[in-house]
Amino acid sequence: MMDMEIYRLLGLAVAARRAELGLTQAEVAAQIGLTRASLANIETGRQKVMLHHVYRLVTALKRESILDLLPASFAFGESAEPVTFAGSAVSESQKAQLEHFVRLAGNR
Amino acid sequence: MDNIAHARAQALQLIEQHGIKTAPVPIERIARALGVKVQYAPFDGELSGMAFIKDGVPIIGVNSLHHPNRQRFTLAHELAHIQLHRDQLENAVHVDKGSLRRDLLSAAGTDSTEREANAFAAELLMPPALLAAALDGRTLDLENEELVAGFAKRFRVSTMALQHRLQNE
Repeated sequence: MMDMEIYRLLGLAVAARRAELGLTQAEVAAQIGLTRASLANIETGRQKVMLHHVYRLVTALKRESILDLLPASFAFGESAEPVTFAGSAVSESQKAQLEHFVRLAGNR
Repeated sequence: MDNIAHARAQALQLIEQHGIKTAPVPIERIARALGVKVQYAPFDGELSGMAFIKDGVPIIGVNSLHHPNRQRFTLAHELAHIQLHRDQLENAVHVDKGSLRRDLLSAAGTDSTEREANAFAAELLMPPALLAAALDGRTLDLENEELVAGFAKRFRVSTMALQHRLQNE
């Protein structure tokens, strides 16, 4: 399951940027050569993405670099125990974001 | 059971220990001196910050997308959780959305740890002695927006945080 974390992060970034640009999933999917359903799955992190699709996403979302959508490096499987949250209630996407931060925190 | 007085006393102790005499209070320096790692990252806009312990080291995450004044309040608020509620951080990452939300401001709302953390943050960023020195015998008319804004700027806090602080003197 740890492997999927990077896809969740990519999905979050894609969905956020797409919303920022006010584009529909269908519009972006068409530019990349994917179906709308595939893009929807990518945005929720349920679908693995081909490398050429990542670059096309960068273009379709008017970004300069894949680093605008993905972290420069990623520690797979490190500290695999689940992260427990307390305090304010967080959504699934916020949780993914925070988990990633917690895993990397202190290493930088 | 909350312990607002204890939270305020802890904040004041830090001001004394670090010999803070002038505004703005160097909140990040204080946190680092306490052995806390402070890291900034672009979180979802709803999230303001988080506090947790990793490998024995207390870490505070602050949403870098928020206004710098809000980031300072978030940092002070999370520092409170580390100083006052550390036992609760051993097993879970504590996440905070807006810490000065309306429901948190009302005395009836939300739990005691958040009220304590807000009291600690307000005392730390706007210590009474520094406020008094800045006021220099005058009373701050809360309806004088320009004056309030000037004070907020001096302490590098939001005008909302300052107003709330002065009303809860």
